[in-house]
Amino acid sequence: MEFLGIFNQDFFYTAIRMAAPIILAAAGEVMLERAGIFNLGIEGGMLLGAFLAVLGSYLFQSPWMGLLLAIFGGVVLGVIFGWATISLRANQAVTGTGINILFAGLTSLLARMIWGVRDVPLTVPAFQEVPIPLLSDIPLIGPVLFRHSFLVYVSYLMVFVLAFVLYKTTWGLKIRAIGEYPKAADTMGIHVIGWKYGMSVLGNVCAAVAGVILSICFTNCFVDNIASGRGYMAVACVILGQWNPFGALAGGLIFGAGNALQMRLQIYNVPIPTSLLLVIPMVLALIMVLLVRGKASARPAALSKPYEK
Amino acid sequence: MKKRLTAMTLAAAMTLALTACGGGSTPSSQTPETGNPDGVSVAILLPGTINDAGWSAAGYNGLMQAKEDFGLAAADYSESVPLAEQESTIRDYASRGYNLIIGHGNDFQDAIESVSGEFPDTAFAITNSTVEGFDNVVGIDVKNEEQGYVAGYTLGLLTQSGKVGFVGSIEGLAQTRVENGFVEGLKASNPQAEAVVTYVGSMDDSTKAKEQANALFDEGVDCIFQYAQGAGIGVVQAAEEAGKLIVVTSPSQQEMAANTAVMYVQTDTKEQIVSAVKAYTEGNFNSDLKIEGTFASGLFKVGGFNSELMSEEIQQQVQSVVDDLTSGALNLEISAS
Amino acid sequence: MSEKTAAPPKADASASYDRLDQLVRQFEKVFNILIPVVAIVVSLLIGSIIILAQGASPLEAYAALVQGAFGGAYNLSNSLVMATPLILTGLGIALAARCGIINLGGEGQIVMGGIFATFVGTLPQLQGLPAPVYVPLCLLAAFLGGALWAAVPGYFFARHGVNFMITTMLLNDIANGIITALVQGPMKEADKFAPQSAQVAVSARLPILFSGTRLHAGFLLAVILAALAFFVLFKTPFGHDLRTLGENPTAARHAGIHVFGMQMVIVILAGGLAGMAGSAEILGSQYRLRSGFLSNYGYEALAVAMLGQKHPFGVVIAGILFGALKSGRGSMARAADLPTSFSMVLSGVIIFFVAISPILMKLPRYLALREMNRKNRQSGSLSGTV
Repeated sequence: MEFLGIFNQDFFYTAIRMAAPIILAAAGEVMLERAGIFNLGIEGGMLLGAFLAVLGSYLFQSPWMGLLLAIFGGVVLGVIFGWATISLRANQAVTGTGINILFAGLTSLLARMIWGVRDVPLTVPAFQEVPIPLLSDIPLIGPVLFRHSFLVYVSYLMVFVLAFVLYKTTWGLKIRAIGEYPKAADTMGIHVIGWKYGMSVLGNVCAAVAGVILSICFTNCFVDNIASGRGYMAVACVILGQWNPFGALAGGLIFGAGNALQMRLQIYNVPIPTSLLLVIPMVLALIMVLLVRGKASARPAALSKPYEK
Repeated sequence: MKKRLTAMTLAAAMTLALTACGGGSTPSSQTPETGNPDGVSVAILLPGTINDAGWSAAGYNGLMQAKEDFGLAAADYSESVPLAEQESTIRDYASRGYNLIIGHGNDFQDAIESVSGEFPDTAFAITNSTVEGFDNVVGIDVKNEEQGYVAGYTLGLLTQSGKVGFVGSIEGLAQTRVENGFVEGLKASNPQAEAVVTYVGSMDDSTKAKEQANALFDEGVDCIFQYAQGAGIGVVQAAEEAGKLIVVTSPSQQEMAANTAVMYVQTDTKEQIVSAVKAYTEGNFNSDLKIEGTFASGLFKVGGFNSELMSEEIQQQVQSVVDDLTSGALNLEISAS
Repeated sequence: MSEKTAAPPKADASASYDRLDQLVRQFEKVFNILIPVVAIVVSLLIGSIIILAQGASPLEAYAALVQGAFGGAYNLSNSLVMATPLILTGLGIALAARCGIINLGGEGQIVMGGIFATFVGTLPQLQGLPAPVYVPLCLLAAFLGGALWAAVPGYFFARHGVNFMITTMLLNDIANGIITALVQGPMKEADKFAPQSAQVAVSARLPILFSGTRLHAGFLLAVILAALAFFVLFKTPFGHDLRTLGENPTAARHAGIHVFGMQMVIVILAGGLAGMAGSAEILGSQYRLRSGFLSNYGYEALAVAMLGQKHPFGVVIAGILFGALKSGRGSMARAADLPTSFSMVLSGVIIFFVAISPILMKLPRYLALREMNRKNRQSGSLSGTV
């Protein structure tokens, strides 16, 4: 019964915090996949964003410039990824794998070229936590929900914004049409290629900003491989969440809660090898995927298929 | 059909390229130059990167210091050597005439032992290992438990809540030895205190390490020791932000947590590398050679006592444990299992 | 490609189209070989920018890369040893991709293969077995291990449509957790501290083919299996069905192909081959199980499968190329004083270019057709499309 004490305010605070970057990246990926593009390269986008955020904050001594630079990087990456997968019709999974390996190497390489070999990584100005007045004083939920960095709020807001766009606007209708029947969308006069490029940029910017959260919200420095697999988790969340922004939110929270749980189970000295406790988030996600299963029809019909006129 | 032809033509081109490049180069090993350390070239193979703020960085820094102080002809390194590429990397160094090749970690033992026979004039050293039956391979037994012991002992004296935290990276030999020493040290100074041991499961996920540290603080831990390589930066930051005492593993980490880092327990492999080079140049490099990584042999250094956080008395107590370990009055018998 | 082309109605246009088609086909043969080569050359050029920025000489660095990969029997053998698990895993991924399944689970399947092979190879009860029995037994165990790790997500995919990519990806991490726990506990070498298994029995090891090199029989096995895969894929009804299923699932269903059974077989083969890749490394090179013994090979094998154009022999060539890169990158890093992250950049760029290269392969046909269409429009006949 002592274990029930695990689920206290701190537990939920940790879960929400740790889920934020995954949720933001996953929400962007939902839009991308709804437009028919599968981006496995989120990990690479996160690493790029995390690095550029520290670089910007280092050069201009302001985290805002870091954020700006990271967004710019996300736009550029989105165009490159779009060029490869939309215009050149490259295999999307392979392109993504290439981007992941490329940016894992490149960010580490550039960090060392710029800041040299250091004992501890260089620290830069970072975003502070912003408790929301009044709301943060609500008992129980206040400290859990309303005492985060502003980008954490942005991550959760993005889910609602993107869900609104996707389901309540004509833009969303167009995006969904492109993911289901690109040919029909084209005959309806929708600029399929243009929208796909737009979603590629949006998805990669979301991934890059998720990286910003890791480097200059949660910490204040760049370390090699800072994303540590969160990009892959985001991809998993999209599928887990059945290509729905709210589903991605739920998926992200499963990872966040799973991690918060395994950290506390370690503390309580549960007689299970640590290396098995560490994969609890993945096991939870796997169980959810197998249980939820859902309708196969939720998957955009034209996902991963390059569009040819 | 088309694709088969593609493959076959490619195969032919490859074979051609291979035969063109593959002139039989025989491994050449230089004879050891005795007496003058200037002629000695040393290479170290690291499991992680040279800026991992932990194990691999210590190996790299040690070699660079040895180069500076001791005047080595060459001091080179290979970082993040994957398990599958150890043997070829070792062989590459050996065939290019490096005199002393160090595998930094017990993982390198198999590969070094299998290559060593081919290069009888090259000296090999493996940290964190005991080696028997090889004339040119020496194990450097690193007693990581001493490092953990001092950290645990110190925090045992400082804890108010009676809960002391440990954050490691990925369970491995060195990690487990530190962890076991930590638990013993804590028991020695404060038998009532509870050691709360956790691992991040990553060598570089500093964000997760930070959350892990925060989770420890949430559960009543009031002071902490980090041995989590690159990820450990997150633990240092968490401690500083939460105002919880921490024992760090380098002076530069102490700068990151100026208000809460009570001291550092550092690994400095310079002396071990120098000992190996000396033994090599003096012709004493054989199966009888014993190099230990201990306080006594200068591998671990304690410093940076923060007087605002540690009373004079506690500082003295810690210092006396370090002295006992250095003099051999205190000999830890801790297995890593 | 030619099936989609609308046949021009006029006799002379049709004849000219056929002539053109033949010409293009011949040209494509040469062109298809050139593309991967061009992709790699371009990647090396991009890499040289970074080398220059580091203040080193690209020529020197790449010379060291080639020397480290192919210079001498030992280095060459090392490249082939590195290539072996990539080829085996890549074969499985290529087969699955032919059938429309992307297997991102190579990583975990390799790990399970390694675990199973080591378990059998260190089992005290089996120590007396002669090598001709023991080695195949270990390989079989590895096949089963990898196959199991793929069959479970494969079943849920084939039966219930559960996304295969996500389940295999999650199982990669879970496999890593399991191996770490095993080498620290149940499978740890008795009376030793280090988190690793005991060495596998000598008679369970894959023999070294040439003394003085590292080349073990696993490479031979990989090549033989590639030949076998080629035979199955292109010379048997099963292979025909498999390709049909990948190219046109609807047609496959109408043709009465048992989709569920087919998908299960493919998934088991893919997992099993990856499992054998793990065992080849353990039984032929490392001899004992350690956590992370082949990390990242699963993802790289995906690139190998695609670079090899999902063709068994292409996979062998691509595997050797990637193996050579692995084998030579250390020498390159040491010669030009480059951090290891540089070789990651290089692999990443190569994979990226490999991904975008297929469209280039359609270039000759596209240009030829455009030219013909232009002429046909002038003469007023219908046009063909790519």
